[in-house]
Amino acid sequence: MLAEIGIVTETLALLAAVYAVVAALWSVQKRERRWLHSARNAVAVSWLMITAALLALLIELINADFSLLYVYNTTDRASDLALRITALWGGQAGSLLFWSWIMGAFALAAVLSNWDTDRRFMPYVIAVTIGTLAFFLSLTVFFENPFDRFWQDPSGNVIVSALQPPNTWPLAQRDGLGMNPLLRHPGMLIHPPTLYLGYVGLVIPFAFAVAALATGDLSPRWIRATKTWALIAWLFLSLGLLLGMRWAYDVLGWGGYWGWDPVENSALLPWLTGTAFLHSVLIQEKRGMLKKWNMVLIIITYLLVVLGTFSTRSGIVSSVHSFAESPIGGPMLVFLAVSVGIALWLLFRRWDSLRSEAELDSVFSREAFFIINNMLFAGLTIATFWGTYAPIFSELLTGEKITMGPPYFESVNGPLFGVLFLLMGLAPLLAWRRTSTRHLIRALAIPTVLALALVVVIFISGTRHPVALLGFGVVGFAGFSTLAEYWKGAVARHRSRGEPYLLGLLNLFKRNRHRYGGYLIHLGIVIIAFGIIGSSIFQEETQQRLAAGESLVIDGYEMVFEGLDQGMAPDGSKYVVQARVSVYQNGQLVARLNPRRDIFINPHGAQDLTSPSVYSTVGGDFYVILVSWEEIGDEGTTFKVYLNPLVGWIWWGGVILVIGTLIAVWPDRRESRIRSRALATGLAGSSEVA
Amino acid sequence: MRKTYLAAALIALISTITGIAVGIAGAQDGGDRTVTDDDVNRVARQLYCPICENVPLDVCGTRACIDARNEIRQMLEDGMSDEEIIAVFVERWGERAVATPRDPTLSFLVWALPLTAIVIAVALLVWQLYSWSERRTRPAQQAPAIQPGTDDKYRQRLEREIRERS
Repeated sequence: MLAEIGIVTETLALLAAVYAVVAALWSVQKRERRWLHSARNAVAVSWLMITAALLALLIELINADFSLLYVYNTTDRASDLALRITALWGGQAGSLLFWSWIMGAFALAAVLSNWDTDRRFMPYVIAVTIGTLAFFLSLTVFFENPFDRFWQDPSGNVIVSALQPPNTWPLAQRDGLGMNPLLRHPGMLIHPPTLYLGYVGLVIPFAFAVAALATGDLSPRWIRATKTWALIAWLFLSLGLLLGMRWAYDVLGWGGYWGWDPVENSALLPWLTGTAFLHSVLIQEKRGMLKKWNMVLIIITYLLVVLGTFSTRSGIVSSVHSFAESPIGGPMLVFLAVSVGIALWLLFRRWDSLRSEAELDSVFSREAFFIINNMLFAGLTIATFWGTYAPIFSELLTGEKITMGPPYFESVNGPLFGVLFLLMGLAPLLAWRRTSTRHLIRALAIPTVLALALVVVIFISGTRHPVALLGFGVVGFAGFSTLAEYWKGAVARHRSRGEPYLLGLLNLFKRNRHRYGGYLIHLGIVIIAFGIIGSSIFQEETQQRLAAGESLVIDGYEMVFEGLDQGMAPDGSKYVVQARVSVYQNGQLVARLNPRRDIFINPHGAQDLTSPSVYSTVGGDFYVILVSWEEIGDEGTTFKVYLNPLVGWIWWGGVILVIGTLIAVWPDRRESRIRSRALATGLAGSSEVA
Repeated sequence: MRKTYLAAALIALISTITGIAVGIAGAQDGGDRTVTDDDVNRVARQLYCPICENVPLDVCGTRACIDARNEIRQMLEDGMSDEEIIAVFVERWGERAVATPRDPTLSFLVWALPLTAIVIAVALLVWQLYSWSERRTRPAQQAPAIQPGTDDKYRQRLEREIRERS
């Protein structure tokens, strides 16, 4: 019964979405408000129907109804409640429905929250967001239906279909296959949803950009309407990337967190253009410049979102994420081509109207440095895009498949990121329009001296690696420059208002959330960069086979293999082989670790998962895994040990980044008041209601 | 006469020691080297699994990669250098075996685009900066001398207060 409800509601959701797009565009054609109202209501209906379908699937997963192919593929009887909920996005069909649900929620929220202020944009915003939603819903209904069921005909053949074929009866499997062991990680509970939220969130600014192009209202209105949406989407995309890194670090067992895998790159690409967009819209807001560039950026960001989804789900670029491959690649490619066509047509139609209202007054101005920053982000996007897709082009052009591994990305992207950090340190010190040389030198002095001091301290402590010293210096400069901004503000408040420094600092956040929240994001990124430099340049590893009682030594640590424990897990879901090792530093016991190997057993065989065990300190991680392909036993077990300096800084930097973004997006009452006042006086667009 | 015998014995001794030393060194080069897992991983890290694309050989658990690592160990024991071993695998698996292609044409294809993009971007930037500075030297140069953060009243006030009070 639930499956039928799911099939009916997802189909109704698709029909409502198609109707919403048609009604929204019809409202423009006929200039009748009632069609737009009808479209808005259809958006709500569509989302409610998707919600019903999603709930139906969730209940089927929790109930372990193995008459559904999707439930059979992603869960088993041994899975606990958390894993069954996670299964909602643990497979292709479910994740597409989940993606659609988030898209519907974002679209509805964007329409309702901007309904009064930006009514003129609404037909196009609905057309774009719900058009995208309709496309993904059609994939769910026609290609990857999570409500496909097993049927058996009189000859005993098993048929999979959403609707019952003639002369068949329902068939339920006894148990499911269970989720891919690699996905059974706490990070997987929230990694896909956050990534989807990031992807979907970026569709909203794109929709408003298209609306601006279609209506010809090329003022910064569309940017003001979507700045918060863009920042929220960026937050989720950042969080999704960080959680993905953490998952890779904890689950994939290779001692790293980022391998420049095509799927990782697919999420990084819209993050790069989205970050550039967040900076460049400030210039349009402040100076009326870069209008064309902002349009191009948001269009590219949207296309990268669709391309990323297409390339990872079609299997066109192979990767460790290839479990998501399916035949939906063709329709996605068509959708991508149509989206490119429409966006470019609209853009070129308005090209001449997108002239800048101002020119740069000086190269030493914040906007000039933001432009250079944007060019660097564009460079990073091109380089990463090329590195990701070059194997396809190579195969097409020469017939030879190639690999684009970390050496390519590190040698091209590394210097670009370095210059980007330099700009991150410089730009906040510069004023809009023009900065005098005297002011610039004065502002540069303290961060530069502190950064040089940092390099000297690191050098004295024994680090001689030139790239590391340069990297720490540049990143340190960006960090000190940001801290100097806080310091200046707190001191000024202390002097002018007598506020204690800490209170003055807190009031800075209250006074200008966007700016000081943004600086906190910068600090988070700086800390992440320290972690990346430390863990990538100074990583050490060793692999040795030890018998119980033997030990290995790596850079001041001694690891003793005490013995093995093994047996079935209490829930019977897996066979666990766990090693007991003790870690000593300077003769002192610092940790007892348990690297293990889980062998999941399902009707089709066994799947392995090697889980590392980690001793973490501020200075770095002692990371040990069992080498799963070697024999494991008390008489001899092969261990691989990694020392990852500063790696924990990446996760803590991520936390600071999230806090900074939340501060920056937190609603500002003063701004809301100004907006309400403008609305009341008819300045905010209500006069343009269709 | 005695001196002659002594000299001959000394030469024989030196020759023998040298011979033994050379022999030992030769044997080490030729096939009896002790190869550790770390040695194997040092080479394997530079190669990629032919089945699971984008997965380095040192961390891949497929049968093909296990066999390949055993082969690398044997090649190292036989005295082959890292480069020679990598060349063998590139010959066998093609250019996909390494992180970036070694074939000159493919290598050009891979590196040319990003490098060209960077060169064009830098040229565009320089050209833009030049044209801005050209414009600045024209009447626009008399644009009001804006002090830091002029359009940000709050920051301007802060900085004014700092100046006044310091």
